[in-house]
Amino acid sequence: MIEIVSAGALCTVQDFGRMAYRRYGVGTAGAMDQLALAAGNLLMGNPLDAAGLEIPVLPFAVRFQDDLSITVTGADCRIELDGKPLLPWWKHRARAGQVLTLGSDGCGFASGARSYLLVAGGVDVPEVLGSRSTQLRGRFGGHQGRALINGDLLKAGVLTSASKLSCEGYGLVPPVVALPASAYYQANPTATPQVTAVRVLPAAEYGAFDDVSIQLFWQTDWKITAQSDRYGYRLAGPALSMKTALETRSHGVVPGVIQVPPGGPPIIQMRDAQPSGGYPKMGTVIEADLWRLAQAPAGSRIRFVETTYTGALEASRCASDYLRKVDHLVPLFGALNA
Amino acid sequence: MTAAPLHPEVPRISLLGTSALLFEAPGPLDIGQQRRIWALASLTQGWPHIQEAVPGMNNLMLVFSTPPENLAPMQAALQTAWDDTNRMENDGHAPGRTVELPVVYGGAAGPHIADVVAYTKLTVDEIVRIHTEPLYVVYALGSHPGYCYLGGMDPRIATPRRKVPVVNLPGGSVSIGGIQTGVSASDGPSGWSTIGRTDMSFFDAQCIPPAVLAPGDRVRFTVQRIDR
Amino acid sequence: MPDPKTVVNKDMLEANWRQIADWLVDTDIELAELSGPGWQVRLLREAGYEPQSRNVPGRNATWPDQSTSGSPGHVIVKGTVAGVFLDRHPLRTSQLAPAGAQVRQGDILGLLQIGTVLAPVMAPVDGVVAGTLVSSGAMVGFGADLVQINPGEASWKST
Repeated sequence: MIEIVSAGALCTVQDFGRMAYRRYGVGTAGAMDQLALAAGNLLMGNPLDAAGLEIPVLPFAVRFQDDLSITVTGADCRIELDGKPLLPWWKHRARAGQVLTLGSDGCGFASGARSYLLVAGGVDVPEVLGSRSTQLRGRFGGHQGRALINGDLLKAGVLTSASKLSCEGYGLVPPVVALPASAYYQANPTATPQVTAVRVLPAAEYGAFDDVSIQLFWQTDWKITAQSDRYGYRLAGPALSMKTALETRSHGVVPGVIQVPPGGPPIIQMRDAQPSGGYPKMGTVIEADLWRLAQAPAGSRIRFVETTYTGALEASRCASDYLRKVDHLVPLFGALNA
Repeated sequence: MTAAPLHPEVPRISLLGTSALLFEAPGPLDIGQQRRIWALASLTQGWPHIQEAVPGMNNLMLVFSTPPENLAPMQAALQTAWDDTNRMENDGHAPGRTVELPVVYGGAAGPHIADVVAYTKLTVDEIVRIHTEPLYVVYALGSHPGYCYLGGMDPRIATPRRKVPVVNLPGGSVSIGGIQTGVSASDGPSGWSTIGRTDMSFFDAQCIPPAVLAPGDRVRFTVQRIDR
Repeated sequence: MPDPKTVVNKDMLEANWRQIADWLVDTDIELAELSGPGWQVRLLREAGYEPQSRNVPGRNATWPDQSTSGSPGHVIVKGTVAGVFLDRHPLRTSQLAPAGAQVRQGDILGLLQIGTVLAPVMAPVDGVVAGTLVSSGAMVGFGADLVQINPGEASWKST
């Protein structure tokens, strides 16, 4: 069992999310940084989409009641097991009784916005509507349909044969290093590296915005306000206007859709957003860059970069290739160290 | 500024990133078009590359399991399938059931009814009478678990969506957003104007299907009371 | 050059390794390995290496690893795979084993990157880090000499 000793706000159990129930009004939920979840699972010998803990606020502490292989992926911070420093994105062995702490130094995330704790066997909570993700709005899924609090007990799942055979003591090159940096930075060498560039495909109402607004959309370093969370990222920046008012009908949306409510700044729909909405859409952040968005903290800035459908597919391929390589190499290293 | 209704004259297909396609039916919001959307959803749910077909208000979102390399064939197939729905004898959709929802209008249950009064220039009693008169059709579910988008609202009580969405609306809230009306099934944020509240439960995650109402069902609002 | 018929044994090498290394520098030989029962010597050409202490026997010459019985000298930690040597984790700015750091057997002194995986370079003994023998970011072969430790009792203070 895994005992939550100290959890900040909005720490939830997530897997990839619910993929077949949007038509009942059930949003997908799921990990904001799916790449971190997936890579961590592969390191554990778990199925790609086993459930883990998403930790967006530090400090955080858990006690392991049994021996367990673990890893912390996503954003880096001070990671310690019984006070001993651990490497991030690394497979460690936790012994029964040991306490894992994240951010005990009070310094927050070194960079990025959320960490993931993956354990061998995955976090074993009941599946609801095909997923172990926490559906906060509907109050179901994950651990009792809510964020974790001190004292909560979670079970680790049954080990797969892959996770049984492999040992600890090796790790992964994180995607922020392994995946190619956005071409935006190459094309704009004076751009601040602290600005997260995310690629966007224009959406249906793109052409209904006036030319000035379209230019502002692409050229602004939008600030992610403190009112940003799993539901959506509320941005601060110049006002965007439409040429004419549109009758907007409720329609399905996906994470990454950039809505522009009239009179308001853009809101990027994230994993806990409503599965449908009616505000005009300027564009959609491509699926391959959602993890970059997930790791952009409140207070930081983002830049939208126009891409093509083909370019977006290529970006998705890079991410899949990374996971494929991890999936290929991890079992070899597990066997080596055994 | 009055919203000039600008709806597409021909079906429009657009992208939602690499995650989904959005198909929008042409013309004004209409139950005939919605029946065709239901039929299109049934047709496309089993297509390769499609994870889920999600009806909206006279539109359909097709979420990709994996995005197709080339969009043109799917766009063409979608257009053809849409045309086919016009020729279908029936929409393959079993007639729905009718549900009555008693509503407490106004007062604490309807905190934004004053906004509807201000915008429409109608009285609370007129708004309630107009809201309870039609037999609404469930066009689609969305927004949050169990939430039904209802069609058939009288445009006389249409009120634009709020510029700044309300952060937390209680479950059971009966609201108006633009020319649509609906009932929230759980607490959460909303950009619509709330005019009343009902006690019915709309969703159970342990059931299959988990939603109580389905597209094609009909809803009649009744007046439990009007609070001033 | 010594007469090729001269018997090459461990004693002969111990007496003459410095001369042998000097001769090899002027050739285009990158790597020379000599071994016998119970011993192995590898001489590897590498640019830019600066000896960290007086006890280092010279450019890249190594003796078999010292036992942990406290014998004098130093221990060279070799890589277990070919890859890119990193002296710090890609997400972090601080070196894993800065010169002077006290380490325990099993502590991670550096990393070897192979594709998307990072393998550890671990201290085989307790001791004090003398320094890294390759630059961070350098591609190294299997068994390359990576870090030097001066073994001994770590005056370990638990944190």
